[in-house]
Amino acid sequence: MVMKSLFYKRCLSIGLLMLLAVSDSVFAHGERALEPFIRMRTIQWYDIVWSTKAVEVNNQIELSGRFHVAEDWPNAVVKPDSAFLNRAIPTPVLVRLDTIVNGVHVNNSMGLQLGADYEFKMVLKGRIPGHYHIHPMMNLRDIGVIVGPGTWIDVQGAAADFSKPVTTIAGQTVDLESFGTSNGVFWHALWLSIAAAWLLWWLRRPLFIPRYRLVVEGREESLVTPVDRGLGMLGIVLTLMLVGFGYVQAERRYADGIPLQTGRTEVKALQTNRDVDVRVKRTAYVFNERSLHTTLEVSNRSSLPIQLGEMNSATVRFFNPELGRFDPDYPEELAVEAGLKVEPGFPIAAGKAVHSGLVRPTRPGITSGNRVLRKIPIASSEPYCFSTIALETVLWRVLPAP
Amino acid sequence: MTPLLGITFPAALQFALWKHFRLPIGATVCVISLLLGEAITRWFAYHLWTHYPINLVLPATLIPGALLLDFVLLTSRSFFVTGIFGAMLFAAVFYPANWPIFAPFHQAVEHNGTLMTLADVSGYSYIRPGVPEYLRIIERGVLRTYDSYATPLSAFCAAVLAVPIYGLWHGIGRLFSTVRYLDKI
Repeated sequence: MVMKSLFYKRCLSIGLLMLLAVSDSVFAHGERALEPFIRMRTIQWYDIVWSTKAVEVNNQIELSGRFHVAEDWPNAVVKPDSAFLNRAIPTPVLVRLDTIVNGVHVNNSMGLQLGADYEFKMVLKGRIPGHYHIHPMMNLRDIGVIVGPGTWIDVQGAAADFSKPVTTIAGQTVDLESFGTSNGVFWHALWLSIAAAWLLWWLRRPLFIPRYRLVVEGREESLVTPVDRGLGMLGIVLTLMLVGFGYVQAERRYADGIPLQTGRTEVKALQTNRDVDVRVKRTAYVFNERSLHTTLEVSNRSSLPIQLGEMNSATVRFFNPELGRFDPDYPEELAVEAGLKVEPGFPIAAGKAVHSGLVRPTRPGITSGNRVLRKIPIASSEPYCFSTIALETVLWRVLPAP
Repeated sequence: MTPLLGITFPAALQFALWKHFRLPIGATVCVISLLLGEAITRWFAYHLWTHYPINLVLPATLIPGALLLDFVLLTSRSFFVTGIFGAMLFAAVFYPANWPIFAPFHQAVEHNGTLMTLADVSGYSYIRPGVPEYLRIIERGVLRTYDSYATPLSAFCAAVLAVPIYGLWHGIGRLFSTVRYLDKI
C-alpha cells in the first residue's frame, strides 16, 4: 500500500515537472476575461499607435489612438459617467507625464458620451528596464476595465538613472522618486524607538507565568510599581508634547500646503465627419462555416468611391484582403488578414448601394498567405463607421477605392 | 477610519495582557506588529517587486496613539477610564502624529495646467492599473483631504467613535482570552 502511494506521488511529481518543462510563459493581461458583451458593446479602440517600440530610461514614448463609445451601451452595465484613461502595465515601468483627450489635458476621471469618439495621446517616460506588454485601458466605474490592443515595449538603460523632477509652485524642484522618504523613515524610526524602549521596560522583567501567579495571589503591587505609574504619567505628557511639536513644525514648514486635489475633467466629443453610413439589413451566423453573413446598406455621401476595408469588434480586426491594407504592426492574435469578404467587390460609388458582406472570422492569429502585404500609415482621414450586428458594436473601416 | 479600525485588536490584547499579567503593553505590541508587517509588505511587495517608490507607499503610524492607550491604562488601572480617555486620545492624535510625515506631499504644483499636490502628481505618474483616479472619492467630502477645516472635525468624530469600538473589542478580548492552560501549569 505504501509502495503504491509512493509510486503515485512520484508519477504526479514527474508529471508536474514535465508540464512545467513544456509550458510557455503567460504574459497576458486578461484581455478576454471580461464578459464578451461588455468588450463588444462598450469601448471600441482603434488607430492605436506607439511612437516607438523601444525607449531609454528617462526618454519619452507616446501612445496615441482613438476609442468609440458604443451607442447601444448595455442596459445591464452602468453608464460611463466616471471613466479614467489608463494603461494596463506591469507596475510603473513607465511613468505617466501627460494624458490628452480631444485636446484637453486630463489628470482625473471624465464622463463619456454614448456614441461619441475620443482621440487621445498619452506621454510616458521610461523607468524600469525590461520587455513589457502594455495596453491602453479604460477604467470604468462599477464596470471594470476595457483593455485595448497590447504591444511589446522595450525599456532600455539603467533604472538607477531615472528621476522624476517636479517643481512646486514655491519654486522648489524635488525628485518624486525619493522625495520625503528620509523624513518619513525618520519619524517612523523615532516612534518605533520610543515604543521599543517602552516594551523593553516591561520585557526585561519576568513575564507571563510569574506575573500570572502574583496576580492570582493578589500581590499585584509588586508588578506595577509607583515608578512605573510615574513613567506612564510622564509618557502621556511627553508623547503629547512630541506629537504637538511635530505637528507645529510641519505646519510652519509647509504652511502653503493644500488639500489633495480632484475633480472631473469635462471633455467634449470629437467632431467626426461621417460621409458614410453602414446599416445592417440582415445577419446570420453560419455555424458549419464559422462565418457571419450580413447584408449591409452602405450610404456613401462622399465625392469618392469607397470600399469596406475592415471590420473591427472588441479590438479583433478582420481585414478585406482585396484591398491589401493589412496592418502588420497590429498584435498578431487580434488580426485576421483574410477575415472579411465583401460581395460584390466593386467600389461603392457616391450615392446609395446595397452590399452583401461576408465576414469569415477565422481564428485570430492563424492567417493564410503572406501576412505582411505592405505597411500602411494609419490616417485619421480613413474613418470608421459603426453599426450593430447581433448586439455587437462593429466598426467598419471605409477606404477610398484603389 | 484608520484609527477606528486600528483600535480593535489593541483593545482586545490590552485586556488579556493587563487582566491576567498586569502588562500595560497590549496596544503597543499590536501596533508595532502591524507596522512591521506593513513595512515588510511595502518594502518587498510594493517597492522591490512592483517598483513603486517607497515614498508613495509609506505607511501611517499608530504608535503614538497606542503608547497613549497603554500609558492611560497604566496610570488609571481602569478599563473604563482607558476606554473613554485612552481611546479618544488614540484616535485624536492620529492626524497630528502623521502630519509631519505627509505634510511635505501637500505642497502645491502646477501640472499640465492644473493645480495639484505632490501627492496627486505622484499618484498620477506612477501608474496603478487597478487603482483608477475615480476611486479617490475625495471630492465627495469624505474627509480624505487630510487638510483644511475638515481634519479637526474628522479627528473629533474618530475620537468619539473610538470609545464604543474600544468597548466592543474589549468585550471580544474578554470573551476569547483564557488562562485555563496556565491554571494547569
